[in-house]
Amino acid sequence: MYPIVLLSVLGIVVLYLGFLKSKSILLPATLLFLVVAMIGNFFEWNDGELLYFKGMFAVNKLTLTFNAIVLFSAFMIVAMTQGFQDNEEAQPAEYFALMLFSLVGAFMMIGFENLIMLFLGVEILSVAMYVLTGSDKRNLRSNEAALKYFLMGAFATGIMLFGIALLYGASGSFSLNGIESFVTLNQRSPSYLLYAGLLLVLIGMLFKVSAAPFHFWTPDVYDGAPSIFTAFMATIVKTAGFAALFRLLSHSFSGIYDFWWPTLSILTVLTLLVGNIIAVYQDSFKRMLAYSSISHAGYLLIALTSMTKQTENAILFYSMAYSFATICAFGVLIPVAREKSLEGRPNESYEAFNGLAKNNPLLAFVLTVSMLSLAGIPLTAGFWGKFFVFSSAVERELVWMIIVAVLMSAVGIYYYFRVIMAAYMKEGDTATIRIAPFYKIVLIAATLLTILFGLAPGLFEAAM
Amino acid sequence: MIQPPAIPEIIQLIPLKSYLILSTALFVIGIIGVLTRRNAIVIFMSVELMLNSVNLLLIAFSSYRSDPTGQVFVFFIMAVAAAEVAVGLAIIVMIYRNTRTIDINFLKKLKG
Amino acid sequence: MLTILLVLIPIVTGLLALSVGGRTVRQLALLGALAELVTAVVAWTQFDPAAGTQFGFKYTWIASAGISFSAGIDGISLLLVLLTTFLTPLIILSTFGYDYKNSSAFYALILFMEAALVGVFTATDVFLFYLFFEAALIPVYFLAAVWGGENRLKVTFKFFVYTIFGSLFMLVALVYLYFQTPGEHTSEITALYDLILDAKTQSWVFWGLFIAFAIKMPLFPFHTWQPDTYTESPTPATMLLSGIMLKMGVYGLIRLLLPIVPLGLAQWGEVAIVLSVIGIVYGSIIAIQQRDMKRLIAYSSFAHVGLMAAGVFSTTLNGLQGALIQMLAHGINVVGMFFIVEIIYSRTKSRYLDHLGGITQKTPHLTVYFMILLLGSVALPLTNGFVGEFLLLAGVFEYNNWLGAVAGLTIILGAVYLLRMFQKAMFGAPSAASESFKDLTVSERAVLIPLAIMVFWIGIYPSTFLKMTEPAVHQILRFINS
Repeated sequence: MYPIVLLSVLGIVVLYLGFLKSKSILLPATLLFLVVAMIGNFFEWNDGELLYFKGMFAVNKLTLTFNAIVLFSAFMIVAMTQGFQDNEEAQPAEYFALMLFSLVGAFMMIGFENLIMLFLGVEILSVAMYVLTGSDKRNLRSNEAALKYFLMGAFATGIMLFGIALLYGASGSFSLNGIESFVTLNQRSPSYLLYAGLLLVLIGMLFKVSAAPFHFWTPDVYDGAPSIFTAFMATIVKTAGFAALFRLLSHSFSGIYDFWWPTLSILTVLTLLVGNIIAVYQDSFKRMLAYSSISHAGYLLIALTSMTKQTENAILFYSMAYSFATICAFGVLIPVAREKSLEGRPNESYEAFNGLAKNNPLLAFVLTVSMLSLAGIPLTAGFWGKFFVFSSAVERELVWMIIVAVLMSAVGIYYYFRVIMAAYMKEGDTATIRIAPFYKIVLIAATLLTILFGLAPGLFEAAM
Repeated sequence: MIQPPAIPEIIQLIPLKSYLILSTALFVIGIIGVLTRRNAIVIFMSVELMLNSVNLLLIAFSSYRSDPTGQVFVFFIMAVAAAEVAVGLAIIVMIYRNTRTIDINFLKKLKG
Repeated sequence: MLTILLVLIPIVTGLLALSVGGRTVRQLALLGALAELVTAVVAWTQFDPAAGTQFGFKYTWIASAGISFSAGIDGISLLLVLLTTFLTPLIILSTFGYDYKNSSAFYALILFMEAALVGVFTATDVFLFYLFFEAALIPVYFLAAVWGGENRLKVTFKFFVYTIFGSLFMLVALVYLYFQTPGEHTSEITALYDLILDAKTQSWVFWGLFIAFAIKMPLFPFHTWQPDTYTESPTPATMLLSGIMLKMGVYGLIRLLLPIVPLGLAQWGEVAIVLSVIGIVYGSIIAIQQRDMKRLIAYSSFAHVGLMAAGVFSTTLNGLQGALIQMLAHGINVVGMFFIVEIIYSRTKSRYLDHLGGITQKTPHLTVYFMILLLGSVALPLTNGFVGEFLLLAGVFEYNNWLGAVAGLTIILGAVYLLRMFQKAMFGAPSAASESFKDLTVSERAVLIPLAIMVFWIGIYPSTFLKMTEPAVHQILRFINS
């Protein structure tokens, strides 16, 4: 609860700070505000289950942990912006404020107890992201990405809303508890309004987390948006989206598991296939990361589809491991692409990484660890993420899904290792790239955390 | 379960099913519009149509159940839709300034 | 306590090596590897074969899931730990004559590899086993892909994807087994031994595990990554791959596959043993046609590992004991042979038999060591290869006479290709390439002498090692037959 209030107010404060002559205070102020929100988040850690706004918003250990992951990711991404110093046209105050506001939306998606709250959360997050996607105003690619994201996002919201309306028609309530009691009462007699409503809400949410076949906007939007906001989208939007899906399915609709799991399992397999196979054919590293984010949505969907005791832990751990690794990947991409820019445009292809290890061993190492983690190789956090996800599927004995997931993990190695090979084994000359010390610290911290959670995944549980 | 209060007769003149069919039809028209039209503004209007079909449906359900929460939700949708319009039109204007067109077929910079 | 020390020493030395850099790094690496060897020997002297798993170490890892970081040493583990810790210093020593760019990373990776290998051989928790099994792949991949030959990128990539792919199936099988443990789930290997599963499930699990290990060893028809990888890798990586890493597969068969899924073995054991025997003959025949010495040894190694697998799948005491002693012997011989090829290559710039010849006249010392290692591989009595192959063949004969007879071809064919290689490279008139062949250096001798001593030790007095492993093998056999 505190982080929502804090960030709403502090976001406005950031906007006011933008009136100051010196822009250099914005970045430290925003980082400080995020730390404050993080501290506020843990105020309610020991309070058990809390409800706010007449039971429309819940606070418990699960939501607080998701909040913490989101806040931490946001902290790292904001730290990597370097205050937009090198961009003349940038409006740092507005970007930072929008990022803080979008976090408020993410928290609402994580903690909703009522579908109104879910809708508001989705919209606050999305509208802020539409603006940030198009923030590079003179760049046609950024324009196009913003328009596509906006139209598809609004379309998805419309579908989700129609689903919510149908759920309301069936159960007479917007609250998760009300729908749950309706579902448990009518487990035997099917209500088509309910089923249709659930499907439409699922489609709307799957749009947001870019699961196939609702993924088609993802590569273009991720590719066109400024890299720093792509990182934001790939981590925070996805984490919040899966938190919302998890709460919705585990809370309200666990009674009709038999209805939704076959549908979801087909989409899962499709997402895994589409994400991994198309990623192989990409020449741009950034575009590959977009498809990789689709494939990771697939792995997270495996955990959702199996919906066992482990699912909660699996989704938490997976989204954390995925967020850290993705942030590292973008953190390396941004300076490298800028260094190698072609015709004034950042070069985001694989070739930009050729010979990176020679003069920038730190960047190459960070990149390697993050790629290993995304590929799910042991000794990285990504491995345990995959491990927990596979475990939940094995517990349900979803044999076909496991076989596809295993095959696709092997395919994943192909495209993740391409960039490692480029960095270490291909010839190329990259001058030593100067990176700010703080940027370096963030990269190292995220890498060390990835390795730490890879060595001792129990730490995460102990913290819960 | 608590027995809901009686529904006014004037509302019952038209059965709930008709509302459902009408709003579903509007919704489907909206979806078809999004998927087939090439003009960004028209697509956007189709999305608005979808949202309004939702509003209609929510109000119908709300009246038939004598439950005000559905109508409250409609206010939220309207407010958020207004915000969305503001951002959406801003994006479209920005694109128009750069390209002098709002046909989405012209937007093919991003290809995989 | 000793176990955790065995895992930690190479890691710490490796990290030190990374931070030191410069020319002293190889001495540091050697020192670390020797300290590791001393620790292993201390463990050996305190080891009591009859007492089961010793020097145990347990640390709760993921509390809620019952997964622990637990390791310990029994007879089988000790044998392989000794092999690893004995070979690693020699492999490091073998690089002293050469300059590798980025040497601190190079030696650190070798040491990390050693830690992972020791981890695999000592883990008593399946997930820990899996973790080390996979972790061993990363250093060797980088060793091969960064310091390897021309074609290295494609070849090592194939190797990496191939092996990861196999082990993912193992992971799924292990997770499945874990969920079958009664009550609070646990992933202790011994708990999995006690599982009672129906025949159909066992055959699924059998394939999950078998494919992972078969790719690692490799067995026919999963071997296509192996000859290229062995040829393209820098020789130290080839030594690690063939001398030690290949044994992870055989070890996995003995430690996990046999005792956990005896019914699966009853259904599919024949298929597995036939594949192994096909591999023996196939590998030998291809080895006969090779011109590249490194490739020839790669195929010979493929043939030898086929015999080990056949012995393991015979599930007889002789077969298992033979496989274990042969792992030791093969590790020593193959590392020695690859080193000799490297010595020849460094002086003549060629590995092709057509370009070589007459080296004997230039350096009689090399000839002697080469001959000793060669005879070990050919399995001449009183050398290490003889004990292993004799026991293995005895085991396969107990299983089935026909298969035994075919597997026996390995000795004849092995003699053919190895002696042919020796004759072509060493005898005859000196070729242009070997005209100015320099004699062995001190560090080269320091590698070859311990290897030669081990060839005779195992050949003449194998019971040092056989006694060590026998109780553990009996225990495994009890689980198979119960």
